[in-house]
Amino acid sequence: MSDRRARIAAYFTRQYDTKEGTAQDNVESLFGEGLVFHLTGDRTMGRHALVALCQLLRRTRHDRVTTVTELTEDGDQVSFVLVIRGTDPATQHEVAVSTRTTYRFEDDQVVEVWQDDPAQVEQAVRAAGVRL
Amino acid sequence: MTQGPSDADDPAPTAPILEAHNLHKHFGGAVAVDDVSLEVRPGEVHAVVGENGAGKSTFMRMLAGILVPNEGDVVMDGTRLEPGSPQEAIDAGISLVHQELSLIPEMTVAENIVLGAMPTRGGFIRRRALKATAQAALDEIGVGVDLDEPVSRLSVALRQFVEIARAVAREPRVLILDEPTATLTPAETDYLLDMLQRLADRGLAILYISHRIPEIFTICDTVSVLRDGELVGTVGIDDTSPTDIVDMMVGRELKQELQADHESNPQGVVLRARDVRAPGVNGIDLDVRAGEIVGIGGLVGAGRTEFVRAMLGADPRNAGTVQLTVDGETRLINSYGQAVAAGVGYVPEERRADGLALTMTVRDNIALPNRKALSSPLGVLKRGQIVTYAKDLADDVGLRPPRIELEAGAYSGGNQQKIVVAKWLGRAPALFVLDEPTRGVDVGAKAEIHRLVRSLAEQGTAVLVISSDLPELLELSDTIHVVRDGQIVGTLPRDVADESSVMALASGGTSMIGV
Repeated sequence: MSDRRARIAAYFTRQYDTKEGTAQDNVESLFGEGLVFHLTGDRTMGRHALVALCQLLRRTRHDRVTTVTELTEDGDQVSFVLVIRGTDPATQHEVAVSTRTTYRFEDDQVVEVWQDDPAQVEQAVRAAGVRL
Repeated sequence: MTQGPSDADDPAPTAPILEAHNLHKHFGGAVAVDDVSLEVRPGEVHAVVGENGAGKSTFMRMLAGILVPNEGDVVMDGTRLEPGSPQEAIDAGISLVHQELSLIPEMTVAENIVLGAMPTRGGFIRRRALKATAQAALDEIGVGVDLDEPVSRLSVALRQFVEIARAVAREPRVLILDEPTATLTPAETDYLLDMLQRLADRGLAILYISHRIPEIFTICDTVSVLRDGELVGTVGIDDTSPTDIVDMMVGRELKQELQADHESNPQGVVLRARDVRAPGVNGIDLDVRAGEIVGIGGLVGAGRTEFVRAMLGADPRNAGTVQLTVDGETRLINSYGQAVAAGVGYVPEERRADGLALTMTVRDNIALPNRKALSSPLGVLKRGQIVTYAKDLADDVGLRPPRIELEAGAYSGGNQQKIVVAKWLGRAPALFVLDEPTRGVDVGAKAEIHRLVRSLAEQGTAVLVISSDLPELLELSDTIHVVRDGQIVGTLPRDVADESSVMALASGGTSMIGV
């Protein structure tokens, strides 16, 4: 397992599954200060907004298990599929949600993120009242 | 973010542009501000927070030369300002945006922006110069609005931006904003915060009063907390947390006392609404029981307020039936008058427009919905009885100061909300409807309003709360209905609801997000 893969997997496990450490420390362990997280259109969010969103999502009472699969590395970019299994707190249904995510690394930190369903992330950010 | 004064890493911090030295102000025997000192640097956004009555507005008014301090000095760029001289403060570069908007509704946007400094020649206003100045101020803050539009036609948010443009037109070096986002939606707030950040990035020093802790952590570099007129502390934003700030504002013991849970014991159905339809409302059913607090969540624009207003007859309803059952008697509600007569108390979202007569005294406002009961059989108001009645209710809601002879408009946002609540409490409503009950209210007053709402439910009142504040909704409600696109898209009991589940329903998305 590459170092990047291990760090990415550890990030999601600590952030959401075991909720170890603070949301901020976890984010800062992987994402750089000048993070650009692409949303819809030309909208983006930075690291501060990401921390706020993570804090909100961590408050969810859930049984989610997150798995990083299909990870490929190409230069400074890492692409992977994140699979989240658990009970959706809104519907109480068992669900498995998968999202393809691409990270661009710079100096060992993720500085740019693309997701294949940015509208969902953006909705969550806006619904949470986080400033973009 | 610019560097605040608490950043120990900065070897050579910029010199402060504005300094308050040991400011003290008392009104009669009441001390409003006691020995408060702080300093602000160019490019810094410095929050001043505290409960209602903590002395924030008095402090800011002394900085702006509106009030004369009993002791202490205001120093701008190393020069002491003449106490109580607003013009000298403006000339020195201090501009204050008041908590309550001070625009003249009948005048145009351009006229309001240059108010007090109208360019004239030979006694005539120079229209072209007036517009150029106003346009430059709007450009400076990045807001597009028709200069010839009367302010009365603008939304609350645009009025707020015009108010800021007016302050910016004076080319200030220190901008003081007193609760600028109290009446704005989250999106409008985002826009305002972006605007202020841009102004700070250009070197403007900003003193920012807000009750909204997340905003402070979004935009501010430094936070000063006032409590009971005294400075509790000044901290760098990176060295503190929202919890610490709230603790500093209200004191830990009070906070725990105010956050106590309530015992839910719902009884019979008081409100039964079926298939309510109105513009933006697409068929909503709702029951609220005696002793129950029902919350309505959803995003701004989801149709929550429209539903409640149509249900109560405050706005026209296209379809649906609404019944109120009190003491075994069921009445149909087809107009707001019927709703009030049947036992509804309604605290609206726009309390300044719909809920309070600002130029009337607190006493008369509180007596307003109950004048019949407070009049003799011949229709003469029983003055003595009204005073006792208003005083008791002002005490019940914790109005501070409890001076019922003051005009309602003289009170801060949190206290105005308490007056509206007191108005309806006197009628002992069977159904109490509160729309955004704590918007623009500080944490202490917010906790008191929450305590009041819980206490009403415990006494058997059916309570309906609409709130955009998720923690508030979760803290108060026994059941939460989430509205999206004018419909209830989900109902979450207290033990299942959390921020994520409400958010997921409200946004139509899922909380199973990996970021």
